Amino acid sequence: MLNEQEQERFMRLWAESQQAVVNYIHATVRDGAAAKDLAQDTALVLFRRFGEYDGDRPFLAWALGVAQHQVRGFHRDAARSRVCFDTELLAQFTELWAETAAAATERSSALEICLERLPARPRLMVRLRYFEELKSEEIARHIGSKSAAVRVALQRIREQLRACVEQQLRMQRRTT
Amino acid sequence: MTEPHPLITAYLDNALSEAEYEELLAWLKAHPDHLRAFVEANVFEQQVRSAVVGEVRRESAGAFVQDEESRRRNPGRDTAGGLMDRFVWPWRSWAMAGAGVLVAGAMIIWWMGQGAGLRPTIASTQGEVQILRDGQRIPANTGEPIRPGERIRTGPNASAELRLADGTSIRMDGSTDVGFLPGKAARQVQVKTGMVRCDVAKQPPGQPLVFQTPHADLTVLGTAFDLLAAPVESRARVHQGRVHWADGGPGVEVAAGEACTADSQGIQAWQPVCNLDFRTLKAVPPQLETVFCNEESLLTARRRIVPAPNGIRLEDGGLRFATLPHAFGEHGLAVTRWTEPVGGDVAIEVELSAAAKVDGDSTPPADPASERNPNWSLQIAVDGDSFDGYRVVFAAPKYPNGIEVDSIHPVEWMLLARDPRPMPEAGDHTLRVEKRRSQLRVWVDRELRIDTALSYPLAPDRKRTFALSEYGAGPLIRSLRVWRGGRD
Repeated sequence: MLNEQEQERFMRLWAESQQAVVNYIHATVRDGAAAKDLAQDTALVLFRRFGEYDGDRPFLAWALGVAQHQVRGFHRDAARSRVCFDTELLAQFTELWAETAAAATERSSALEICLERLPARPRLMVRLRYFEELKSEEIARHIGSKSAAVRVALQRIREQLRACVEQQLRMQRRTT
Repeated sequence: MTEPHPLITAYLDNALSEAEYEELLAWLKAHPDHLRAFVEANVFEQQVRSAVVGEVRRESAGAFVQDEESRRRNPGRDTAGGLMDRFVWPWRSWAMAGAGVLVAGAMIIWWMGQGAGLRPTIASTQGEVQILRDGQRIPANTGEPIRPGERIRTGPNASAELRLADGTSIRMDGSTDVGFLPGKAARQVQVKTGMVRCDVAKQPPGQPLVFQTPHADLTVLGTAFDLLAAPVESRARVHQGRVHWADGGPGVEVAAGEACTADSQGIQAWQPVCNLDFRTLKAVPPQLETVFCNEESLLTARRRIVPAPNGIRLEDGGLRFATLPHAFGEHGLAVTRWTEPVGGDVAIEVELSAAAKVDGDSTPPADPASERNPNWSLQIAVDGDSFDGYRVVFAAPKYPNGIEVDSIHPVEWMLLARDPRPMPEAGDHTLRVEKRRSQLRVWVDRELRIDTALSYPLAPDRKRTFALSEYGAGPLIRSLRVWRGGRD
């Protein structure tokens, strides 16, 4: 059992890395409900195994290693999985995720601004996709469109958001 | 910015077949850059996901605040349970959590059913107002709540006022169709057609109210504006605060006094040039210069244009052109033109009353029946004045029997477009002329009367301004509002 000081330390490190780990699980599992369960399981494992954590290593890399193990376990269940990343590819993916996610944290506030600026229809589409976790076919039914058109539109929205975020970051850099 | 590989896009959309999944794995292993691109796309997509989830949760901030207050009131639970207790409580209190989820789910369903707090009701109605409910048209009654998914329609001469729970007022003119969307789109008000005049209460942070028209979305956080949805265009005029006007692209911010339109050509912001309410003005503004050209020289190369400061006058209720033979001793064209250039893209709105004019006397007639002057006319010139620009001639009921667009540049009269349908002979009306690039639209009240592209060449050295003119019996001009296209 962790003492109070260790609990505080864990919570601080976890708060910094939680989003990247949860996002990683969502990206590799591609099933919202399963990803949420797996994220909770991972958080619990991390807490229980925090005593094994080497403080000289980045916490995110360690947490992603644990998450990777959870994801592999999930995919091992043949009933759930079709084709999945092999161990080596998942390890490479995880390593790159640690690098990329750490560098991407500065984008969060810019992304919030850009999301707020989305017109109503694209905004509705991203909410249906990411909050309601609807598939393209379901979104298409909801907004009176075709699933292929929804996929194209979502890709465009992502590109628009990415361009907007880059512009926001450039502006922030100019002003600082 | 390069487009992501189609396999990445399909992965992000959960749209990969088994064969495509195999193809993706092979592609990822083929080059380290492929995997890097894949990871970057996934990281960004997941950031978008968590930002969207965060945004929606913030919109439910009230619930969290309540929860926080409740925790403050019962601090013992935290200290007794400690950090681990908070961390693993879903496992310890599974049954309670399940029940809580059920209750919360029921509350969310109820909340969504209530239009996410908009809770519109019908505050007042005049004339034929109907609710479209479950495919049936039923008469709307004052005080009646409008459910998400329902529409309200006003008849041609009817009106209605809707009130939202936050105090927002939406006044519907005649022939207007407004709907409220269900579910997650519940903070959207659809204005399918017609005119609404809105006074929007301050909206909670992150929860703007969105007015959707067929052409664009108007996003507001608390403001007052008029919004028209017509078949060819939608337009808004902002009285107070700011709105965001977008048609799928980045859109424009529109501030108080400004206006905006959206049509198949895209969106356009309009900057105010003047907003003159002649009912309250004590003097004609110095930017309005009045001149006169007699009939004899009007259509000749030697036009005799002379200053005519007495050609217009303010009287009780508005501005009126002087009776021409009385003022000038001969017939001709009296023109009141703006002295500063405003450019070729311009929108002009004139509110007028076709009340009778008594020659040489501004005293209103004693007999109300004679307050109708069926022979009124008014010209609005754009992209130049009435001598060198495009003129839109409104006249009732005789020549030109409706509306025509013409030009008398350089000397001869050129008819460019015409709508022979008669003008309304009496009453109050709003005339609108909007020129954007070569497209000219002419409206009477809310009816689009002319929509035409102009190619007739005007003098390149003309002053690109606007003007009002008349050659017979002018109506009483209550107000003049002008906007020019684009931004400073």
